[in-house]
Amino acid sequence: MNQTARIISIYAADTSGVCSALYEYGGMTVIHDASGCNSTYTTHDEPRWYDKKSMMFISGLTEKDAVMGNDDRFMEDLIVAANELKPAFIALCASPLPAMIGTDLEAIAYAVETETGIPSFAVKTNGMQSYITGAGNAFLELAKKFANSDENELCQPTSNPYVFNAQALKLMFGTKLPTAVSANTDNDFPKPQEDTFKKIKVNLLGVAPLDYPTKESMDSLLKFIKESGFELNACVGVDTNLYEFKNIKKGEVNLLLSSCGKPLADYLFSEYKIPFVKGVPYGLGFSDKIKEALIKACESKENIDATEGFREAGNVAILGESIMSASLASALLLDKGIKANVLETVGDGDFEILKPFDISCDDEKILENELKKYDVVIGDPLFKPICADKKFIELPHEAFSGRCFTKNAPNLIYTSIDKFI
Amino acid sequence: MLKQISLNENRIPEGVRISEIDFDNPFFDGLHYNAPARGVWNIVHTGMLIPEAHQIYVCAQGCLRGVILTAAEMNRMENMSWVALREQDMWNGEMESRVIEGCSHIVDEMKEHPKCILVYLSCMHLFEGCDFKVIAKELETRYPEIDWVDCYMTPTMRKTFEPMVMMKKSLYSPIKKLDVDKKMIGLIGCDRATDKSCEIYSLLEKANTKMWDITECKTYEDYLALGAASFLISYLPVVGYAAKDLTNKLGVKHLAIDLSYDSNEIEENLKSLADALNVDGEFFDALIDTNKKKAKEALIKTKELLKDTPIAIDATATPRPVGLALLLKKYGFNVRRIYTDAFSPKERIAFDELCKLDGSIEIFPLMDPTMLYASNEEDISSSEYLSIGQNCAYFCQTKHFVNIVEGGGMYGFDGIVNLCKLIEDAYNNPKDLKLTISHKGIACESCL
Repeated sequence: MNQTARIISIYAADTSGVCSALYEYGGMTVIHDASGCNSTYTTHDEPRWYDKKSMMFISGLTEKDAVMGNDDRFMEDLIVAANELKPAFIALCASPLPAMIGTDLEAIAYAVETETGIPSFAVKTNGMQSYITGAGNAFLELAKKFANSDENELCQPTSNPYVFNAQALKLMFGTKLPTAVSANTDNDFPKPQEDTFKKIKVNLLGVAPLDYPTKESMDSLLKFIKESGFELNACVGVDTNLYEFKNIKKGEVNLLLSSCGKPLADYLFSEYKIPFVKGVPYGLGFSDKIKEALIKACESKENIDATEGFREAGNVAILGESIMSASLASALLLDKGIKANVLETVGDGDFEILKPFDISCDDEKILENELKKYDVVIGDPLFKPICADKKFIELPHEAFSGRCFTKNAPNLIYTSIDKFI
Repeated sequence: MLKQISLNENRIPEGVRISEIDFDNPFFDGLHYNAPARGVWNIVHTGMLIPEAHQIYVCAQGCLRGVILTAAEMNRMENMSWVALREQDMWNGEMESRVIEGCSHIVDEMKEHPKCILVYLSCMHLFEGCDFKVIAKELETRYPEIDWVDCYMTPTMRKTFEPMVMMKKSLYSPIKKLDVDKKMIGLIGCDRATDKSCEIYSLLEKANTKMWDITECKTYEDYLALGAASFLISYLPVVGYAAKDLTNKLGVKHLAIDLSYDSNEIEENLKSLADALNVDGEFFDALIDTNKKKAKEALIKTKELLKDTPIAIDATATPRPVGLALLLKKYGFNVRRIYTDAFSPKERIAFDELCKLDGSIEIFPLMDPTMLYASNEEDISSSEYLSIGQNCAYFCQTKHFVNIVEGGGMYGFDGIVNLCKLIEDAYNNPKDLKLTISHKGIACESCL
């Protein structure tokens, strides 16, 4: 493998995955980096950056600090900023150079936590892995730090996940709240309706804007949960807050919507015996299958791959992240009778969902040759140059093409996919 | 004394009075925040100025992501390739061969070889002691028809050589000395076109001399023509290293005529250009008198329109934000804020004068973490500020802003006239703030 690409893009890196995962939890996330990681993340990998504030910074590593190993300066800067901004937690991750010189971020996090009293942790990154590893590890570290919080710290989730509670808003916006949401910030949370106590409580895992950037897709996920008769317990990653996250162990089943949530799903299963269902409710037929799988998993306490039994090899190639692509393949089969193979292109994530006729490939040349076998290709528009004269159906993926095509991204969740293909 | 910006009770950062700030070290350099203003050019935008050239970045995934998507947003992916460094590359001692084989693979995949390839190496190469000369020599041997240019994406080295300073040097690396054309000079260091109405062009016309400007080059041959320049000029600050390299290579002089808003400095700079072009004094005096008068009239007219509108200026809009603030203040404008992380040594005189004129002007940093909350202060529907620059437009949450970076191609007294026109336009015509400042690389094509 040459690790080269002549013309296609590259997936978001682990550092962006960490920041994206932790964005809404009121913490301060710092990439130990000279310059560039923050700009890349906030420009291309974070659609919330303009409208929703979050404490995302870089350390501003200099050549002198790198050569001399001056970790004291980094710790001092963290403490100064934390004392001023008062984050709910501090998360640290490394760009390539700190990884190269062996900076001990765990030790720095420990020292900063000791000094400030603010929960601090490091997420292992090196800027050379994909966003899936970064986001997955970030969700996992957050769970290790907060999912086991004291019961007294827990609070009821809001009935509308687009409405933050007052404390979370204070963390994010300070005391001056945006007018659009400040009307909904009473400390009296909406009382759940009586029948909600009978509903299965579902956590949505792996929801980060790098995979789910649009409001439409989030609205559709929530609509799916509601109309399927479930109750949303926690949406991990988007439209959420730390208080909701602390409540995560009260969920009865997890819906794993992308590989970014896999480490957390495994953790919740091993620690709290909460089973997960792998799959994205694309289309209508597959949405029904996921609904059935959620109920079954809740009863059996076993993990379920919702695509199992709904995949057949075909002449359509779906490029992208494994869980989302496999789910789309199942949806196409159930709703349209179209058989599709998955060409997993991140080179990272959950490979267990792939079938023998699927492949994982993150090399441009090999991928280009592989694509010659197919008649139709579904993928991000930045893959188009290596698809020769194939029929190409655009499915923008924020983690690959950033904000380039977000406005053209179709919403396929819990809706008819007739117009898509 | 270093100032640490703090938040007030409403979590809004509080500025520092210019009279109380230390010119040499204005702010505590801690963690860095990044405001969502994207107009400033990066090394990808600048590298794309070389016609018919191709860029290859050899670095880690995290570093590749920003540059690749810069090209994608410019609709220039056909000019962009990459080689990803993985963890094993740090230890296996094959860093050089990774670059050589990666670049060779990319070139071999091309239907036509480009005339020039810019290879960007990263901090990892630098810290591993990668032998750049071996890489260059091998690639030149394998593909002698291609001009290989070593470029550097090494932000860790920014305290000694900023990436953009290195980029400006690399930008002119392929230029070779040609027979001197006495009727041609080269403008270096500018990413964007300079207004044709400015005094530089008036002097050139009088001297029957043409200007080489990279923004006007359509072919690689147009670009290489800089090698025939009789002398070089520049007016933006980051070009010093490139100018030194070029003057050594071409054996010609370099004239730095810095962008300024001070009448005397503008006149001195233009006089040095006029002398170098052998423009007669009578023409020069008439040109300066006329344009100086126009600039003064424009400033008075614009002030009458703006009245007491508060004005903010940021350091991405112009390399001389203090000088610009001083000029506007002298004409009665209500300059209230300057956003900058540091002051250029060339602004010392303007700084001292501005302190005396109005010590209450507030200085804010751009990157301090507390600036995350700066935009909390203003409601975009009622912000009264007129901002010069994208960052302060965001911080002040105003729709009334002059959308420029690095001086906006305006120079001299004519530049002041044109800037006044833009200020008036900003005052009269609100812009969509989010849409405008989200566009990466001002004036570049964008798919957004």
